[in-house]
Amino acid sequence: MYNNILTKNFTAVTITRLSLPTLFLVIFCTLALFISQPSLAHNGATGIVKERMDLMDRLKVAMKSLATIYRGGQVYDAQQVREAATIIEQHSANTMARLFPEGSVQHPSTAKANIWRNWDDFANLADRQQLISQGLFSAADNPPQQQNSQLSNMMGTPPPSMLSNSQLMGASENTAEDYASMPSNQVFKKLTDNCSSCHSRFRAKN
Amino acid sequence: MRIKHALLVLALIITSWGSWSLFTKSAPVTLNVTQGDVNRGAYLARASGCIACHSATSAGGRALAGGAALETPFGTFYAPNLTTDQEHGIGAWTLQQFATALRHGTSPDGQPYYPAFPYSFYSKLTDQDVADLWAAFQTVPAVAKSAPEHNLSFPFNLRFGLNIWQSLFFDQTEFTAAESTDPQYARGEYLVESVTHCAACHTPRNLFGALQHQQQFAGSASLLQGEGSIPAITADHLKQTGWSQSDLSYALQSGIKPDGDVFGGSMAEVVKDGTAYMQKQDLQAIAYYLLNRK
Ligand code: HEC
Ligand code: HEC
Ligand code: HEC
Repeated sequence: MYNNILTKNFTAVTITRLSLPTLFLVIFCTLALFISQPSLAHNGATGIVKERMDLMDRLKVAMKSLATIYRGGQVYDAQQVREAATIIEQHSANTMARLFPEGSVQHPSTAKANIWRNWDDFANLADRQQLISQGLFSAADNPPQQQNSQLSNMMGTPPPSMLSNSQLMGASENTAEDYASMPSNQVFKKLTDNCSSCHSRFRAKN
Repeated sequence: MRIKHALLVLALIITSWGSWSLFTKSAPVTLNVTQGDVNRGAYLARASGCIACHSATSAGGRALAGGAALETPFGTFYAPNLTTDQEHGIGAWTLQQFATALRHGTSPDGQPYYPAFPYSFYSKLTDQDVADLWAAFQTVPAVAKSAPEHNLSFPFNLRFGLNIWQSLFFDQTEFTAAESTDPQYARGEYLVESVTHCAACHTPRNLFGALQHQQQFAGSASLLQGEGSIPAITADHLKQTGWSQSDLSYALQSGIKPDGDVFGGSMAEVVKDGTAYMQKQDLQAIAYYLLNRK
């Protein structure tokens, strides 16, 4: 794989540009090694790794059904939102976290080893998922509300200031009651961001 | 052979040094437009990632006061303070200097910038868009603190080496939309190839960190430490993996892929701090262009 990268890049360089100093090449080659990672096939999982992949796949299905609703082009169905929110709620917090025993990164898992160095953060994200999905359940009857103008949404408020810092940083931690009173599509967004935050830190690419 | 190489380097350094000094003295950018629109500029600052890179939000940093560490194989970059502070930000700059930074990748005192600042894409922004950005930056509250210095390994810490890099790899030709009578395609092309710079991550780079345009969007190893590989987004690949225009536009708005999985890694940030704020018709134009790219 390393060879492949080297030859690929090397020929591209030599063909398209004048051949540059060997010294520089050597330095860059060495550095290029750091950016490649082997890819993992997603099959043949067993035991706890399989269990959590199955859990994640159930989350995925529930998210897909929610996305279909919030994408528009379909009548809003509060009952369907509650059903999906319930599934997600049932697969959060410790139900999720307990499937990540220390050091369980065996093939074909894409879990990162930093989970156990940052266990509190990881467990927090799993807990937040529970809180937000409960919030979504309660907010299901609040009809989705489009930000009427994305421009002014981005600005928060009109000029003079491009961005105040509170807008940039978003609201701080929300409570279950906050979620219950928000338009349901905004709670759904929080839920999505929570999945992404955890994946960005703790799930490697495959 | 080795002597030949050594001579080549020398020649290269001398030529680029020469062209550099020529360059920096002669090339301040003059825009045809000087009046900018704050709202449009703020929209662009979101869409093009200025806010994402230049703010360390999760560490509690203030808007545009300097970015979080960007860890790459060349070392760690910190996007500088772009607030209106006179000393630590760009409060003392002129529109012309701002335009020169974006168009030529050079600072007011003629130093070349690292391509970690994706100016090779911004050099293709229209005059109006640059003026709009500038107007919006005038409204950013000053923060009197500099961002940390970059921490780069040798030889990348030698900024003058960038002159060579720029003379080899920086294509400063202005943006010319492909022949197209299709306004959605043209808008999508401009947004993808300049504003949202999708190629910065999705196109492979050569050993010198320069984009390999003949493999546009073919997927790449990530330059960010520990991120692994980034998938292809060529029209063929997207179609093969089942993306429709509306899937892609929705994913850029929401961060959710068609199968219900979510984006991770730096793509999650691209969406959260950038494309999520874009207007539907712009996202649809991006998707349309990528799926029909010629
Ligand atoms: C607390 C952290 C965390 C949260 C929250 C989280 N995930 Fe995950 N997810 C992971 C990790 C870690 C993996 C990699 C697991 C492995 O391969 O062992 C993963 C893997 C996945 C996978 C791939 C599973 C497979 O079959 O390989 C999907 C799909 C997924 N997550 C969807 C979601 C969705 C949708 C949400 C939000 C509703 C979510 N996840 C929330 C940590 C999280
Ligand atoms: C991927 C991250 C990234 C994005 C996106 C980005 N920048 Fe930067 N920017 C940087 C880095 C890193 C530097 C420092 C470059 C150097 O030191 O050579 C920089 C430098 C600059 C400078 C020079 C500041 C100085 O003090 O000399 C300006 C001006 C600037 N960026 C404006 C912008 C604008 C405007 C946008 C959006 C249109 C933008 N940047 C988007 C990373 C980024
Ligand atoms: C800062 C780097 C970066 C930029 C800029 C970027 N991407 Fe990505 N992109 C990624 C990464 C990393 C992934 C893999 C995400 C994951 O694993 O969940 C990705 C994944 C994707 C995917 C999913 C592909 C698949 O088959 O799963 C699409 C589609 C995509 N990006 C489109 C875009 C578009 C359109 C743009 C420009 C508007 C863009 N990206 C800009 C880093 C980037």
